[in-house]
Amino acid sequence: MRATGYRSLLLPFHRSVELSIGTVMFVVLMLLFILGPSLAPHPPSQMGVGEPFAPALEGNHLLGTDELGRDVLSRVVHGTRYSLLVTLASALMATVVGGLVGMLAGFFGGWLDIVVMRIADLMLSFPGLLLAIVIVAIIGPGITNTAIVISAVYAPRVSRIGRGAVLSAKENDYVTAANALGVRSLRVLLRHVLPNILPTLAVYMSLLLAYGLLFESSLSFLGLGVQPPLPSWGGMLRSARTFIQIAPGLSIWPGLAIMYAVLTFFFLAEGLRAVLDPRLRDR
Amino acid sequence: MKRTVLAVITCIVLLASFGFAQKTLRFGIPVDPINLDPAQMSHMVAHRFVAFLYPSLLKYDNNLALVGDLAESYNVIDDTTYEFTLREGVTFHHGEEITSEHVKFSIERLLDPDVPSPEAFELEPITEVEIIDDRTFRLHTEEPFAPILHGIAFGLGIHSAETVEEYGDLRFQGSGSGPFELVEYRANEIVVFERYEDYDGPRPPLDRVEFHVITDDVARSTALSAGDLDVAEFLSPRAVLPLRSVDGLNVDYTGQPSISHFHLNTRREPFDDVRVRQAMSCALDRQAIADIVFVGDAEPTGPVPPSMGAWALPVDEFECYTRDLERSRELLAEAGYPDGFSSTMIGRADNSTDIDQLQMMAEQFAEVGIDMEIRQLEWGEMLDLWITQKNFDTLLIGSSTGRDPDANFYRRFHSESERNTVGYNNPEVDELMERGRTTIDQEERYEIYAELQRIIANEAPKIFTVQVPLYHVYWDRVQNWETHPMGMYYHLGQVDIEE
Amino acid sequence: MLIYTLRRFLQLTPMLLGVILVVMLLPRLVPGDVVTIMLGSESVISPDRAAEMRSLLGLDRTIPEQYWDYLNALAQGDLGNSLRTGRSLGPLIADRFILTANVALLALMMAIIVGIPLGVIGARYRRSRWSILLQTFSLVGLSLPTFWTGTILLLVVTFYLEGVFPTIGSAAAGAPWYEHLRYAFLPALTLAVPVTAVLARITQSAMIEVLAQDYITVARAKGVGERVVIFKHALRNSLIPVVTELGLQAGLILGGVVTIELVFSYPGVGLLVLTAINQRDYPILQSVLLIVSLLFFIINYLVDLSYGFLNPRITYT
Repeated sequence: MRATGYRSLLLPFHRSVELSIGTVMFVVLMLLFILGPSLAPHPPSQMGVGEPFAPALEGNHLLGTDELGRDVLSRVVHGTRYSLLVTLASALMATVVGGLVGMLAGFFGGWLDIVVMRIADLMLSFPGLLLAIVIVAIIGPGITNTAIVISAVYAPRVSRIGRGAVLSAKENDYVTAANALGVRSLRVLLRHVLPNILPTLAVYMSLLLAYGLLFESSLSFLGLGVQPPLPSWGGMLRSARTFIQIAPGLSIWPGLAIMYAVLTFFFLAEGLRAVLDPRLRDR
Repeated sequence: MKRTVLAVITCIVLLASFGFAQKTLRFGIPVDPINLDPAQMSHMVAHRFVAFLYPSLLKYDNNLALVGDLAESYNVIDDTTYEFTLREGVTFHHGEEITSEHVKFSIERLLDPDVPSPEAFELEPITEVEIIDDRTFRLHTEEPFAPILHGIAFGLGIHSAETVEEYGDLRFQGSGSGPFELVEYRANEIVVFERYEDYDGPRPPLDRVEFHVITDDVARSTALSAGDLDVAEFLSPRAVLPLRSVDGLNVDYTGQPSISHFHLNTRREPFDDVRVRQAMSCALDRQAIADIVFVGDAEPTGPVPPSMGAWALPVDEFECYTRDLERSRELLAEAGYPDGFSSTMIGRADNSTDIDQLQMMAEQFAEVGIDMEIRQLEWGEMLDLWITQKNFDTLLIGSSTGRDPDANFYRRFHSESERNTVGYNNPEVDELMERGRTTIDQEERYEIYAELQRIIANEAPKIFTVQVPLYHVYWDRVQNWETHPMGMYYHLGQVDIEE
Repeated sequence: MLIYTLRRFLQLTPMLLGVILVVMLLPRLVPGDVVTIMLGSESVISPDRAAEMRSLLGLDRTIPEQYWDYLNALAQGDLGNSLRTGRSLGPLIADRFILTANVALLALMMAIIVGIPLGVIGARYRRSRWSILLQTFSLVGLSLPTFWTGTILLLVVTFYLEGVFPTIGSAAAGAPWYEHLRYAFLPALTLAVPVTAVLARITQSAMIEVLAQDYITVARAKGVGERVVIFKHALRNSLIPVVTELGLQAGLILGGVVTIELVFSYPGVGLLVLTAINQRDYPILQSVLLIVSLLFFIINYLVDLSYGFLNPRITYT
């Protein structure tokens, strides 16, 4: 019995290949995120550390240099920080704010529910990117604003999930029982409902990370996200696009970085779903 | 009803003409002309189109010298009177022959307070258009006004009252007298011209010219390399780089009279201190900007660009226009910022060259401890902060200047000008600029503007970096292409295209 | 059925008023206006004169006044005029929507043709090597930013397929249908990548679920051929979640279109919105946003209706 303690910890990884792949990829990503700046051979925005457009895999620039003679490897590695920072912040904000609001609306019902859900519907009736473009035009671009905009686009979705989960939990016997026993309502919410929807939220949050990162890079690509000289992958692709015919490498690396990070979160989401979603677990 | 019939006829003619081999030039341009009304032009691109559709009395030749266009000749009678004679037998696209009456109408409409004419300032001093006969007239001004001929060449398009009456709104339609007539203008998409068969000059070889508005550099460059365009205009040196190696493509560039202005808001700390401004100017390495950001196609410049020839002083005559970090640090220390300071720089988000330049400048400022954060703004927001609210620390923008040096100074540095966005106020400069306008003697004017250049470069309410190039890239099949130094379309009447 | 439809529409009214308020308010919060932009940076014009130009365009009216005007105009089926060109918006917006619809529908077709069979295969051979490969492929397809795939497609076409597909713009009005198809092809192919991935994934998981149902086991036990089981029984029932998800993905499609149209300079709705924002052309912006959100509603409504078609057991009450 004692020995299984360890094994039960590893069990999820046996259940889902995706979770294992996702975790490994995630660890690599986090290492880059934390250690990246000290690993990068050059400051990301220092110009002229090499000739402009030095090709990859030659000389002392592993991934070559960009149009201003900046080291591409350093920029991609530093870009991890900005792209992930925005994405993590926005996913957290969207999950916490959206989840809380949705759960409260679902739990208390009545006019609060109606108002909150109408607002959510209103926001969901526009395609996210269009909405984001207009909002950025109003509040301006930049790291913080990008994170705010992305979370604003996704929060209504989370709130719907939160609300739905609370509504179905309310039907459950244990909540009815808790209510009957006179447990105060907020406590019921925290004690009984929250733990039950956490798995769903966790899966959804890793999906949010994937979509959020794509969203962030789209905005940066349009010039509305993270601003230069800060390196963000979308922003790097934006300026690299000009030189795709003479320096295709500049467009390849940040694109691959985006793909890798997004893929990581998709794998995590898949894996978490397989492990946490009881419907899937049964099979 | 009339319009519908007209549209139907146009369609039939268009469809029918597709049957024949048509010589069409497809020209990709980065900026929409916005407004083709000859009395309402508000920027360089509109000027190019208006000059193409509505020729003026004078135009600029390839050396930027003034030559006759609709005017056969002109005489300076005295300091306030100019006499013009029109060419004979020139007709508008609707058939009317051009007379002095039309010139009078065009100038008066331009100066009419009910027609918003954003760039009429060089013609405003005209007090009277006196008609002598059908082809001769005189322009009178109250005071001598030196830049007036440039105003005529640049800011005037001859049109007729009939056209205004027929169309009502000339922003997207109209009838001029150039070699091509306007067929269609769909805002932000396309401007189409077709040959005017009764043009009085040599018959243009092209049947049709299509200007495709493609704002995205990469899209325009891809379309050109794929052969979907015959010629394309570029403002970004980097966008042109990949095209240089394509077989069959020719890259022409001109140091158009347009320069990068780095605005310092002199109403604000620390930019109200002339030493801070000088320190910033000293910290810049203009040659490096020209070499790296502009891939060597740009030249360092002072307040007047080298393309303006005799007007421009060489850059090394100005203080702080050659990099001197030590001097920069000294100046900063004197001004009370021995460790530098932090501030922001605004740049136009859709202009990658400006953003690159700002990144480079930020690096250079950092070497003397000035920490500048770049704020990329969308054009409308930038205009709002810069022109309307005048609410910025520093700001980089490329602006066309050109023509007469008055245009480089008066609007931008006169203490009473609405467009003096940096809030510069120097009575001595005001006085020099007034004199520069009203002095007719060329030698004296050279001296006045040399002095002005020195003062402005030294006091640095704006720091000038480089003269911005303009590129035309075209396929071998395009014959007789010329790149006008102001990017004008005068030569399209001679261009041919091989099938 | 009729009552259901009516009820949905009644629910819509306050929502619609809200949407209209939002679409007219948002663009007006963007700093700067159309006059600032039209005058640009070189003009010398007095602030008074600029104010006059604003009042000519009705920009000096209060927000409630403008809202009321807009509601009135909409009630008469009038989308208003562009501030920039003064022209009526109806035809302009219709043209652009048709162009975008060409791309979206073409992409959808590609995705259905490729994605659904892939999903079926993935479900049929689940836990085999193929299924894992498919899984990875679809995740990669989802992870690729569309503007990136678009750019790379563009590069390939200019280098290797010169002249086969146009790289900018759209076909001229009145051009034959295959011309429109040629212009829409590359943007549609780009858009089809993530949509195919989504479709393959949903189809696969829906199929797996259905294949585990008792009636499939029964059918198999009765000796019904595998092909009949898959295509007749399982696929049809799997389509419900697929259709629902497609409805939800309409946003993804419309959003993706913005960057794709920029990459290919394809003058559809996305590009129209970007220019309208840049030029502060409020009427264009508000009308497009309004139409898009209506479209969303209609799509989701049709999705609801299609349940009945795909699964006759569902009734509307």
